[in-house]
Amino acid sequence: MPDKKEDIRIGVFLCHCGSNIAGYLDMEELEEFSRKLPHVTFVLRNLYTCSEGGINEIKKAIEEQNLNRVVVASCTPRTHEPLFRSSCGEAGLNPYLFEMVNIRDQCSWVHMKEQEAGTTKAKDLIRMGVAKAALLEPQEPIMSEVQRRALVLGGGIAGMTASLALANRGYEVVLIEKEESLGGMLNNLNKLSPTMTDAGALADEKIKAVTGHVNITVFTKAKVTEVRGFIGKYNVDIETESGVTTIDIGVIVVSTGGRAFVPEGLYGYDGKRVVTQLEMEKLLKDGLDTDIKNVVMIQCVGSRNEERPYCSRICCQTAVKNAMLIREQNPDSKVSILYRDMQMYGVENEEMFRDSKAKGVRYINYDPANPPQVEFDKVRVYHPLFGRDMDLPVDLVVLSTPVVSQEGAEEISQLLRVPIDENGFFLEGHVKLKPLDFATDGIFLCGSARFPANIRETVAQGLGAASRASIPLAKGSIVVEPIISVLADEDACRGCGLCVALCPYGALEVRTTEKGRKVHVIDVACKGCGVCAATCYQHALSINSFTDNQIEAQLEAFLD
Amino acid sequence: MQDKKVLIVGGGIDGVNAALEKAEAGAQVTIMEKFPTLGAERIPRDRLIQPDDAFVNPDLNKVRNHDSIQVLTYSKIKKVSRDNGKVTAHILKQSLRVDNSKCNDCKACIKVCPVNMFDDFDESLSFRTAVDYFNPATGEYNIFKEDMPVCQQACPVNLDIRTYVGQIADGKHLDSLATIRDRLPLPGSIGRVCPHPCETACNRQYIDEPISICFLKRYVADVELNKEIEPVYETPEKKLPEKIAIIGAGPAGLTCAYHLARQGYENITIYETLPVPGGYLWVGIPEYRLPKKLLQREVDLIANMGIEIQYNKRIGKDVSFEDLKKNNDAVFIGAGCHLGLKLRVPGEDEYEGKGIVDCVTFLRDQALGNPIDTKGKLIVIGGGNAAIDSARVGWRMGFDEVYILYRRTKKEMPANPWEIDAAEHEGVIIQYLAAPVEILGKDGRVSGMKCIKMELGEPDASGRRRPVPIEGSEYVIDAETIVPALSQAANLEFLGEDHGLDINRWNTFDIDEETGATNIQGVFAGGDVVTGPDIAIRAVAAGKKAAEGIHEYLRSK
Amino acid sequence: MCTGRVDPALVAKAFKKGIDGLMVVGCYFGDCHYITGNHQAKAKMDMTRKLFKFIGLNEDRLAFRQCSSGEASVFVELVSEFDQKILDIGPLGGDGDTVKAPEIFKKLEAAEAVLAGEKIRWIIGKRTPFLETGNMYGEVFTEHEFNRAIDMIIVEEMEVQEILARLKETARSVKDLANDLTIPPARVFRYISALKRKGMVALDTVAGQTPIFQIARQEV
Repeated sequence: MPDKKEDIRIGVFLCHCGSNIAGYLDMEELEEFSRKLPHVTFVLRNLYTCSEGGINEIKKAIEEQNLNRVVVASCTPRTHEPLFRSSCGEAGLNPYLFEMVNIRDQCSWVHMKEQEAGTTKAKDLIRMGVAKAALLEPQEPIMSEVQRRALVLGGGIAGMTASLALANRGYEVVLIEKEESLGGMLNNLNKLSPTMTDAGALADEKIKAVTGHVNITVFTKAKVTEVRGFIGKYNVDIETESGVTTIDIGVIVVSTGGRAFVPEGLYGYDGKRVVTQLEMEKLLKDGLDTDIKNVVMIQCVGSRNEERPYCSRICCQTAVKNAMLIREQNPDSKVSILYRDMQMYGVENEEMFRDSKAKGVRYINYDPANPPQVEFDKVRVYHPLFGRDMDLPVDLVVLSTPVVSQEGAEEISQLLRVPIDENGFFLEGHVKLKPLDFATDGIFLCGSARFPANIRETVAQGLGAASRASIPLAKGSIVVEPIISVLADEDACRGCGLCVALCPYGALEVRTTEKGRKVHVIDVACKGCGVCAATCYQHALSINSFTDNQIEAQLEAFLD
Repeated sequence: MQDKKVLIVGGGIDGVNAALEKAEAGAQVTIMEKFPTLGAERIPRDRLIQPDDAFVNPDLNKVRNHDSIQVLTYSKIKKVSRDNGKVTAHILKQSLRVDNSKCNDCKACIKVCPVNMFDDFDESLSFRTAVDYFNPATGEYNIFKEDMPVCQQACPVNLDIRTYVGQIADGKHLDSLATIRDRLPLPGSIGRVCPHPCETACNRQYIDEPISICFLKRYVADVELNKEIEPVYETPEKKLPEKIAIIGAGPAGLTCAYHLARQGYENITIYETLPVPGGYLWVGIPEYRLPKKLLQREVDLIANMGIEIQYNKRIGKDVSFEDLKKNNDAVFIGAGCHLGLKLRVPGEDEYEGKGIVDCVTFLRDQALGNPIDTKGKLIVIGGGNAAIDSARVGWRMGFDEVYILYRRTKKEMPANPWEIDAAEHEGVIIQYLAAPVEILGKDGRVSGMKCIKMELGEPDASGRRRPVPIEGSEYVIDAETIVPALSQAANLEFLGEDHGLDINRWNTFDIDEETGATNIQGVFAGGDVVTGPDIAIRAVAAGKKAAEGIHEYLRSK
Repeated sequence: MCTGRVDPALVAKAFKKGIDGLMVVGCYFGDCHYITGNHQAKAKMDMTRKLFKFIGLNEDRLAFRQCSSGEASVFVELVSEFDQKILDIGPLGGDGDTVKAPEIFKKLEAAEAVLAGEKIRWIIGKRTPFLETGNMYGEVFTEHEFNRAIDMIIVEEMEVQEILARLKETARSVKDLANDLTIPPARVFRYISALKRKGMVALDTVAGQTPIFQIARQEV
């Protein structure tokens, strides 16, 4: 490996991306410009660098031109960096001696109408990329074993589904439930729409399957008190009534669910004449009192307000379902639903909504600025079409309250170092691209812990999370990009632990070595954010491929 | 010589040499030094005494390793007592905040330490950091941790002022209030009436003026009030069964009950003689300084913790003190000082109740709405806050003219200066350097008072110049009502005969300073009934201390 | 890489090299890809802005802004707004700054040393623990107090670095330093004696009655 500065030979590949780049920037000028940059020994323009032809050109140039650094100026590293990296690797060059310059997403597409300015900016970007490339150093990817055992937090329908899916694939599962029995919210429900399956029967079936499964260990009345380690090598303390057990774990699924908001002080809630939808489920399960003839349901109680701005989205379908069940049990009863907007997503829900209207459920829109008034035997509501208040007689008022985040969600988020949103629900890695993963590798989520979900969605998410969690379990090992924090100057480190306290991933720890207390980077857990390097007052820590002098070189190149 | 034990105080050069000498002579030596290292105060490295110097450097290692020498560094003498020819010394050995066995003298701590302080070893010529080394030869380090900020130290309950004022600056008003309530359950009331020793101590006064610590307390309490937030004083889930009786619902009693309830005690009963809570806060402090509604709210918050307050229950009349002691696991006496002292001038006893009303009774009647005759002029005698309160209250009640008579000058007046100014501003006539001589009467009622002018003589025991009457300067003020507001005393009649409690010559209780315990097991006392008339916040502190003492006592029973 | 990687010392270096404005754009709080990195970045940039203000550089030249990767229009708005702001302020060391070029570059040199130095990095690194979990004695600090401490340290550290920069040029007496830097001699003396204790400054010679100090050759 040439390490003297004069031996550095950089190849620059300029991608036209069809007309995506070449249509807006002066490619010939860029080529001329790149040739004059320090250490650049080879420049080539391709129509598509990512095409097979383009890739082969890179490989060929590495061999023939004896290149030891490669810079591709093209689209975006988000989609194409892995491809170019591996191509360099195939040609025998360490993949981390590759640098990518983004001249499409951040340049040609932005400056479509300013060719000259855009070209100047592209020159800046290429010059900076080349300056950094000259200082790149080879890295080796990091491998780590994965303990083939999953931890599932929460034994509701989400957790049970995920556990069963993982266990059926042959992995050991440890299922933690804080209550005495499994089942979670399912135990309190009556019938599940749209198939009107019996919730109790479903719960029994799942509980039986889980408790009888040879691969699943269930801890009830238990909670996790300490989580150490990282993907593949977690070490978890589980506290039960009989003491603390410590188990090695490979992946973690968070399925702690949610709970129904109790509307204390709202609409005269008393749990008897004014109940929540969850309590309604129980009333229906036990058989509704035949005296109940007039029922009024009020939607959005305690949600979509300042305190809880979100729509809990499953309360509408629950209300419609229960309205129809009330009409079924007491055929001469009258049910009115007072709503703000009906959230009836999906084909079946929409059908059920239409069906309910046909079956005589009444819908009255109300304005949150002028909410319904619950009095002893009537509910007064302003009817927007009549343009006046109307009184609805009632025997029972049902309040549709939102699902709110589980008790102790914050505690779990701190234990696992995963984020929760402003409503206390767990925050997925990406709302569309990684909906069942956390940003932290090796931890997954499903069900109402993430956002209010009905049983059907929860089951689907449970299966999905299990599927995501199976990937590292099936591989048995993980490979991590080596663009992580390193203790570059061991002598400088004083083992003060400042960085340890700030690391968002728990990827740093202080160890006692022969040289005294020194920080140690747990490479598998590190995500390379660089907070530690920017904080270390001894400048002992650095980030691979983003070292201080590489960034400085880019800065200087920018100012040239 | 075998039993001879020697204590050497001071680990400087002489101390070390003396220790070696005594030890060689066969004595058991203990050498004590207030700094963390032997060999005197920190000596700069370039001024270390070298072996060839005129001074002989004591052999520190020999002292450290000597079999019959015990080295106590970073220690303080707490108490020395002599008994039967034997001297016993109590020494507090403080622990170092640096583990010197692990320290490798890299000085990194000095470089990063953000706390700069004047170097007391250098007569404050230079700065040093809070972490510092002492003898550079031995490289012993320590962190100097100040105990508390001056304001917190000055506050009798040690309110975490630094934090709550900072929280207000951060805009976290309710957090700030929670910080206050951790120690003080009456922020709104105390925030209005406290004479704030904290502000007197505040370092900011040397730049411009002290931080308004007291009113900031009132401010956050008012923020809560204005936002119409009804707080709940939390009690723990685990309840404790012991029965506790508290005499007096004043600041001491209420605070004691509050802190006990926070420990989980659920059988707390407060016995209050008056029909209202708050003690002197209610019947002594006028409405304009502390609105009753506000005080009631704060008392209700405490009562809602499950504390029973029995009003109109006078101990010794409705319940005997003996029964109280028998039926409860612990008793706290916070009865306060509700007995006005007399003037001791001729005519006083004769017209008692016929125009002469002591200030405690006067203020109480006013606070409880009892009828008071407000015809004619009012004379208040005294210079404390109670005198000013009486005068300002009297002015508001409609007396034609209100006088305050004080023996010394305005400078010596113990009342808060802003109160004096307010009284004068309102129209109260304050006559300084004047004292009563005789109460005059007509038809069985007070008709006026003979006074005499005074001048200031030599300073007395309290350091204030003693007022001396000017002979022949007598004069008369016509008045229908005279309120002596000299001082108050505790009324301990309720204890009955043979109570067995230690009472001192000021007619207050002798208690254990740390726990509030009296000489009788299970009986605790605090507040004015122990200290004599004092400020409310000190009663709060006594209540808190007693609550801790009671908790400790009940848990170790 | 996260905005948390943006080293304040690099920021000072960039200005020293002649850029006129620098904007750090991170995720929204609570929505950070690196969980809490943006909080660190915000704290570091706030501190750097304070320092810039102290040395006489228009602190608006450094900005910390937030937008999500899905908000192209917000990003465009932020950049355009910042661009306009820098155009209004003008070139570095010109009318927009209280200290002019070339003096400002000397100040920036000292600022870089402050930001790369131990004390300020330590205290800013301790920010989260101080505000949330408390120090070794369990005392939790308020933001107000923390910022006050930062303000004090900025003044001290800048003055210390300027003294060190002057001493690097040549050995000087306290009086000379005080004149050069317009810092009261008493304060300079305190800094010098503290630096002596830390082993960073040493006595050079005594000229007449005046001690002349130099930079310590070997830092401990």
